[in-house]
Amino acid sequence: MLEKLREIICEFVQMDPQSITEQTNIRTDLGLNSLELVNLAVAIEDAFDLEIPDRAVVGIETVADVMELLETYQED
Amino acid sequence: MVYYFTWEHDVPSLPPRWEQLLSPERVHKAMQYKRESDRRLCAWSFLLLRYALFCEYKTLDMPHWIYDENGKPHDSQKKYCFNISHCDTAVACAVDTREIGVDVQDFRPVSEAVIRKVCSESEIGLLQRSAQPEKLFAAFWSGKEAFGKQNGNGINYDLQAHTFWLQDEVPLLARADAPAVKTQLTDRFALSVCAFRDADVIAVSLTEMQKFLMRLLC
Repeated sequence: MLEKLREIICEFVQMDPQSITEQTNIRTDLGLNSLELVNLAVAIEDAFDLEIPDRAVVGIETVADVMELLETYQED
Repeated sequence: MVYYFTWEHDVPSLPPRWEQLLSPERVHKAMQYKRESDRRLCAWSFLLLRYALFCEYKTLDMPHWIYDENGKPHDSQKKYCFNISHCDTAVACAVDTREIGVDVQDFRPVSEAVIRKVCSESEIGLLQRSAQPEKLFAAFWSGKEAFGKQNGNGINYDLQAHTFWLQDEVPLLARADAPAVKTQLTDRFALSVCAFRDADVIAVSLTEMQKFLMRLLC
């Protein structure tokens, strides 16, 4: 899952995919703003074929949070 | 009152000894950013707040913030309300006696899926008929963010449920007994303000900012 997330994230930010870890912070490490976060959420929804509620997107701080969301909504 | 400053290419360099001009908490936050441009934006937005506070209240005191349960910052002494925003081409700061929200968003392409996640059906119709959909989407987005930032929810609300209409080709959201959202477009970004009263929007030049900061350092 992390590998796929790295690929998606690197479509939005120019960085070495291997430098992205579960602890990577979406705002301070990747520099994503709110709109870019929505863009990322949409790309993740497409890639994993699921729907993430808007309200869940707001709480995302780290890559680990994204992975947790994926686990939650994939189960649903 | 809303103040903003903008630039053409890279985020301007910070002045020498910029750390002395920020609260320790803001320096800490700025240093958390990995990218230099993000660090500069974080610092410039705080410096613009200091400029705005001087213009509005003639104070040079260092702002100190407390955060509410939604993470919205407030003046620790509750003497004024403020809100700040930045994008790749501008920083903006709003100050008022009542809660106010401001947002800036530069123009960039967005996917159909993102538009469907953010906009109402009527907004989507306006975007489809627009000659400059990127500009209009940025205007809708900044308006929705300014609305959420005014009430402290950020984008944690049903974005599609608050439909903007166009007045003089820019989005407007106005309802009785509620703060109105007004947007204006520059050649680089959309700037939206959500306030209980009409807020003047003032462009500040980098030279003006630098002069003010030199004064602060003296």
